[in-house]
Amino acid sequence: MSVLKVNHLCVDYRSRTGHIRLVDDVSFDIQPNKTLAIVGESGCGKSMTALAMMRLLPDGATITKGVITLQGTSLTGLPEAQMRDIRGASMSMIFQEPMTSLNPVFSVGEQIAEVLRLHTDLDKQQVREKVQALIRSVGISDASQRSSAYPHELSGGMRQRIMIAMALACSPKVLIADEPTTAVDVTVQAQIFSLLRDLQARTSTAIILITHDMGVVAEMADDIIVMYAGRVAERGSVETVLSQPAHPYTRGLIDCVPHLQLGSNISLKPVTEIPGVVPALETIGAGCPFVSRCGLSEEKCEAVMPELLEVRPSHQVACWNSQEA
Amino acid sequence: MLGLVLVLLISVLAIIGPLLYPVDPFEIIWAPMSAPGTTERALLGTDYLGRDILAGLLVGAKSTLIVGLTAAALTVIIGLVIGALAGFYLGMIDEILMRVTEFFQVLPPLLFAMVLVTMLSPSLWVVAVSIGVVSWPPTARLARAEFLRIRNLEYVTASRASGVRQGYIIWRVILPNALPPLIVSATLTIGTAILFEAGLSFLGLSDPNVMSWGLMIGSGREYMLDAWWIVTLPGVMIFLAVLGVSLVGDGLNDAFNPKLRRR
Repeated sequence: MSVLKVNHLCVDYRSRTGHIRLVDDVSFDIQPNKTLAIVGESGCGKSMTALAMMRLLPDGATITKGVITLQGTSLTGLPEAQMRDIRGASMSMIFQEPMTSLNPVFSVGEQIAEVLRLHTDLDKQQVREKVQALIRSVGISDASQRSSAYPHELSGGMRQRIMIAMALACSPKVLIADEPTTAVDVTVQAQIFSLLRDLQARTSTAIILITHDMGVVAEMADDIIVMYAGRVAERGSVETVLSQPAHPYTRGLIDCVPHLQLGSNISLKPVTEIPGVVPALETIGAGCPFVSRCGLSEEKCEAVMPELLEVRPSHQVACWNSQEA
Repeated sequence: MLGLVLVLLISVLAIIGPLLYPVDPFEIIWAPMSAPGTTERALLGTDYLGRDILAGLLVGAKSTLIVGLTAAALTVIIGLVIGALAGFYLGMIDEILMRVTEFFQVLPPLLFAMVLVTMLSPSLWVVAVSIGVVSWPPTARLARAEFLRIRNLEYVTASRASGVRQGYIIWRVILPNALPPLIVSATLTIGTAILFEAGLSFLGLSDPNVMSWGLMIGSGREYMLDAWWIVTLPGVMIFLAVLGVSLVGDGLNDAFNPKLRRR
């Protein structure tokens, strides 16, 4: 039974100069207690997909097609007031920059308390106790002291823990984590991920992890969606996709991760880069958007967009050359 | 520091001055146009009617401060509401509110205030309100700019993601973060309002039954060449009050700006 289902989601951005498709026909679903990773470079539409699920798209961007269903309720047509009750309660989000995603003028305890006051009927005393419990649950020891601290008094890792405490305050069914560790140290990154795994095991929250780091995916996720230029390039379970990547873009992303092999002699596998950059979305033609950067491109790739097809059970790829892979 | 001392001194004068020196500033107590120091009855001399200037300065401090504070408060309230709504909602609301702001901005403020005071009979409150009504546009623009800057910051998105209402985002998330420059601008507005009140009084557009520094200058201006103290003493008080308020504003600005704090 999946908690969240996204069907053929399209997000368009309209401006005076025309309109661009930011997210094109993205579908997935996620079960409780599972982690889905959405992977891609900057500008590939992964953050937009996340914001579309929360219905928090920036001005100008709208969901033009598709259905998002959370536990049987369609979110796409929901009135704003009901959507507010869902945000922070059954579905919550943590952001990339722990430095800037907490309000600098309120103590962190107050900010967690606000979420509780908003979505639960707890009285003052209960809220205070719950805040302390939440702060302790994210691995911060002196909870009573820390809850009265202001964001600038805490380190980046500490703030990200507070963000997680806030996001989990009402035990959401789905937690969207938008690059939660890009802005913190590697050591803190490891702590944050083990914390998220612990909390997931306790609450069986479904996690949607947005990242560009294949290393993180291997460590955290059960399923993976690789996005490129707003479309799904490849999807499947993490084991299959990482061991037998079928899309040249996925292979490129995997080769970008530096591998430190510790053996008799420490060797560093050379890192290969993907040539070029993500094309501007308005310049994409009828063909595959990856064609200009692909080593295997042929005439057909330029002319026709490949469809997302199954290469083996629950592993789908949108590439004309996936068979040779 | 100097600013704070000046402001405190003037406030103390305004509050306890008339109690320590209970002389009616409208009462004729001595020969007209006595220079300061020439009589014990009026230490700072008398004006063209023989009224005590010291008493005028002490009683006038209160009305001058009331006008300054009221006008500044009104400026902040109108400016903040309009700027906040425009900067937060954008679109049509922004267009309409900004056109209204521009309408008020292109009117010459002194003339506009004069029209208002003339229409509504010159009392202390009318003067204060008129000054407030003509001086809010810059505050509105400042508030709008701050809201525009803050509305797209990550903690606002994070707040939205936790399901709070728009009203909460405006007043509890964005406003407290937008306040520092607004507080500075409000402080400076007090100074401007005091000057404005003096200007209106000088033109004869103030409450003739309430003693204020502006009124003293306005009524004594014809005797400036014969008796300098009649206009100079209240003028000095206005200068000190505005200087004090401006220095406090600058000080607040430095205190709110972390880059300037360690100087």
